[in-house]
Amino acid sequence: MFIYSADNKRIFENARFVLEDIAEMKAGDTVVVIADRECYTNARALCDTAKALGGNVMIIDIDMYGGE
Amino acid sequence: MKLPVMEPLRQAILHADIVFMATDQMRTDFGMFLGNSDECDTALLGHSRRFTFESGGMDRWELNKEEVLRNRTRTLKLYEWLKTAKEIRITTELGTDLTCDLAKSVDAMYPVMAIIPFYAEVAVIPSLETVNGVIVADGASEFAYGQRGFPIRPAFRGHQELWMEPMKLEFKDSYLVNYTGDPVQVARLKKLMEDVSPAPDLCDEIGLVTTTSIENDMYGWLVDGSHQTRCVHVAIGNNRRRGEIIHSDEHVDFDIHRPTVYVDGEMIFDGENFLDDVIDAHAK
Repeated sequence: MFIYSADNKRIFENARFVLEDIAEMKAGDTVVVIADRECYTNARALCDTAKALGGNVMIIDIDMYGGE
Repeated sequence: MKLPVMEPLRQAILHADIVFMATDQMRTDFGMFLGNSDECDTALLGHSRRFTFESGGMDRWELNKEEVLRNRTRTLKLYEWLKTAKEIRITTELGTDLTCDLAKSVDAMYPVMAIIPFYAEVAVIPSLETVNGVIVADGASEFAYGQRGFPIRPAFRGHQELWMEPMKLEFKDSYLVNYTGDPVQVARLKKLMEDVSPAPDLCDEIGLVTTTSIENDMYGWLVDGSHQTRCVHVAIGNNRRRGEIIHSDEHVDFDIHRPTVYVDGEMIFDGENFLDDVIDAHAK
């Protein structure tokens, strides 16, 4: 885990719910998160959790795309 | 500014099993990334597992997981019922009384399942000549001018106008035939009608919001304050491809708070809660 301290369980529990119960992610799935600086916290949590669940993960940072 | 399609991004989206767009959905969408505006609508449905992650504050959510999942189940059941239903009626204490004649025909209907985690809706794209009555929009409207301009009835941080007189929109045979309200908001809508061609004078959508998770309002839709729980939204727009897409070039949702919603004369939402037993009984 890169950003979060281990005791911040809630963000990972919530990310796990999103991945498993809503997105129906399975181990081996390829997961891409499109992000920018404003949503990077969510993106990182999703990816850290997806990786822990056996996913192949990537964040694509689009901050430089458009730059609005 | 129209941005070029970035082929590496496009290919990543097309070839991933699951994609989350965590960026602001008012500034970005899958249509923009894929170079096909219809993809924006397709991605709302969830079949492709392309999700719009419409929420901040994931470290603070106190999830009622059962409620979130129930919202999603309810959406699919209501969608199944509406496919064979004859009429939707929406009323409010403020004076909304709108009917949509589904029996005559309906151009399209979609369960909106991919704006996650809290949002859910059944979107009805009514046919011409099927929507009649009045809505009293006491909630927010979306950004106008292709979702890039100023809202008709704004409710976002720094510009809050929900204290103003609600906008009253009157529809006849699915056309917007009259509107009244606060002069400032009426002037904005009048200018939109004059500026946009073809004029967005059609009832383009009746959005039956099926989520009751309050986190939807607390952590999502902060950009414009629309799509709140315990609301129905009715959109004006200029959709001439009604059987194919939800969102045309111009599409502005107006939120109606605390509606009573009836399907074929049976109440399914009492302004506060869904009557899930009624929906369950009709779902196939």
